[in-house]
Amino acid sequence: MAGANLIYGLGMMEMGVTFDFGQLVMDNEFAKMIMYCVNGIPVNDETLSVDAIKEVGSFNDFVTRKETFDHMRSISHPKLIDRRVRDKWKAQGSTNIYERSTEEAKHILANHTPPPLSDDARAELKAIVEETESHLGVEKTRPEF
Amino acid sequence: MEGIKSGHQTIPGFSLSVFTDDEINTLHQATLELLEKTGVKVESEEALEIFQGSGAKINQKGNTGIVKMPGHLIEECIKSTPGDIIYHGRKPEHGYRISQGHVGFSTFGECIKVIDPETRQIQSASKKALGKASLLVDYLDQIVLLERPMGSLDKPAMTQPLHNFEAMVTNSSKHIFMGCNSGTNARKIFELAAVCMGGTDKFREQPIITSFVTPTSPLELVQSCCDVIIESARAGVGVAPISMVLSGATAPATLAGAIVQHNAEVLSAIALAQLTKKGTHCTYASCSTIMDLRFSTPAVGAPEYGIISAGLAKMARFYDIPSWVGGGHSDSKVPDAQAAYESALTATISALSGANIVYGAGCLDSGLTFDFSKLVMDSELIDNIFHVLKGIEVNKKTIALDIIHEAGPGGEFLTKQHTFEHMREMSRSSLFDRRNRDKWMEQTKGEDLTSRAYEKANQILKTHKPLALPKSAGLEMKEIIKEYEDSLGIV
Repeated sequence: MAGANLIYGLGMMEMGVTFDFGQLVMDNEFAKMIMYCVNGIPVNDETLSVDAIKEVGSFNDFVTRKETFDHMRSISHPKLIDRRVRDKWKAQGSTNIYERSTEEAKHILANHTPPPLSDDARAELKAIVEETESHLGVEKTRPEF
Repeated sequence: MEGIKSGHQTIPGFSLSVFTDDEINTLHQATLELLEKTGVKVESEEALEIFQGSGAKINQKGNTGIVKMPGHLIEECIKSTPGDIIYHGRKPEHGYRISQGHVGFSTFGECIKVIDPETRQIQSASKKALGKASLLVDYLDQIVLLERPMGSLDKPAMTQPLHNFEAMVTNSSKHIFMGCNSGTNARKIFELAAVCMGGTDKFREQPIITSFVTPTSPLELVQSCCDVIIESARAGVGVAPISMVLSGATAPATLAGAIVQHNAEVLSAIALAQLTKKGTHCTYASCSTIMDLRFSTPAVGAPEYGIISAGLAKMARFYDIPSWVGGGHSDSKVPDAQAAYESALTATISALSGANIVYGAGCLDSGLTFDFSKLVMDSELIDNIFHVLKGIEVNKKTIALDIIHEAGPGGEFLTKQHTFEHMREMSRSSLFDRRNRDKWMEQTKGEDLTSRAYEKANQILKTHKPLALPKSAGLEMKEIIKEYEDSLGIV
């Protein structure tokens, strides 16, 4: 809210001593919701919708209105945060958010592929690490990237 | 420090800028336009009579009418609503005084389920469980008001509010917020409250209850809502009109529109209270949020819940009317990390916006399930929020330039007198854990926060004693309830 450009700490536990994959996925979702708050409430003729409220009047609903359809995607849509009714949540396994987030982390790790580095770049990285290690007299390690 | 002038002025503490002055004015003008041109449907002959002659235009058919209120009428009613009020408790020190910028927290109502703190099984809410929750609220300093956390679902629906009141007032001496459901129930509840205060005069001096009334969205004041407003105003009891507009369902999908509609609904109910009796204490209340259109559920853990609440708290502050808004609820079914995160986000935003009462503590499952451990955890969260609200004091002593000079590059502060003098100002955790992993394991045997919170709740429930009611009040209340139920033919 104070306008920091970068806020860090996602995935961290135990004062920064322990990293947790489920925590990172959970924090990622929470960060999205916080961004939603930072965006605030726009006030203009379209968002005030006074004409729509007047047309609907007392004791009717807004679900079927075009304005609702147009704006429904602007509401927050979390993925791991659960907003279902209790029975639906039960039917899906009565999980807590940490269990869901850890599953999601496993899924991402199994499926996500970042844009690959070129073979030249990989070879060069390896050479730099090896050169630095030999320079420092460190026992050789095998880089895993 | 040559830069700091003597008499340096600051506004103390952290706060949130939600709207510009122009935006607040736009929202206010749009609300007045709505109330004047579209008006509100009022389903009560008595209320229509009260609006008659106030300058409102009424189009009446039978006992229902559309009431169109001109801007000057609404503004007069806003002016006659007091801004500086006390919510009295049975114990004088439990009174909560509202003044600009004063933030306090309350429980949420009313849940229909409860997680038993001993067995941790989910159960239907009952009068006994309500009594227990009230006892926990009585103990926790962070919770300044007792909104009925759940209903006495094991009691007859028609007279349930009387049982709710009895369970709450017996177990807590804090000010009670509750719905009465009907005008006759309201009268009976005020009778019970007078018994607890030692007479009607004492109760008028220190009304220990505020009546929640719910305008129906969009733009309608139904019979029971009008009746309770009128009964309460006449009895000197405050009313809290609480709208629950669901952005996307019963209000526009854009938040500014939802705020305008909410504002119109609450102001129309406040107008009825002020026209019934000028100066009636009114609390500008909100339970408004978005309808998550994917699941058709009201999302009370959503970021929108926090920002709608913050927006409405600003509107109430603009009107100088005490505000009561959401924050600290969760949509999670269990007291897990989702519950903690949602509560922290919404409660912090509402508190930073300067809401006078932020309610939601202890609540899970979109407002359907009450949990004792969550109430205990929320209390510690509230301590931390107050720490944030205090902000950062900037003066010569807090900048402590001479101490930094003295320590110098590579120096230390642990042994300084200045550190010793100020160490107690730092936030301290009680159930929240800040130890290293080994100490944590040693102290808690690896138990997580929720388990520790259940233990603390059970400990409080076993040992805490509330302020006793006057002698024979318990018995008199039971007699009044029985007589009332007999007269209604309830077995």
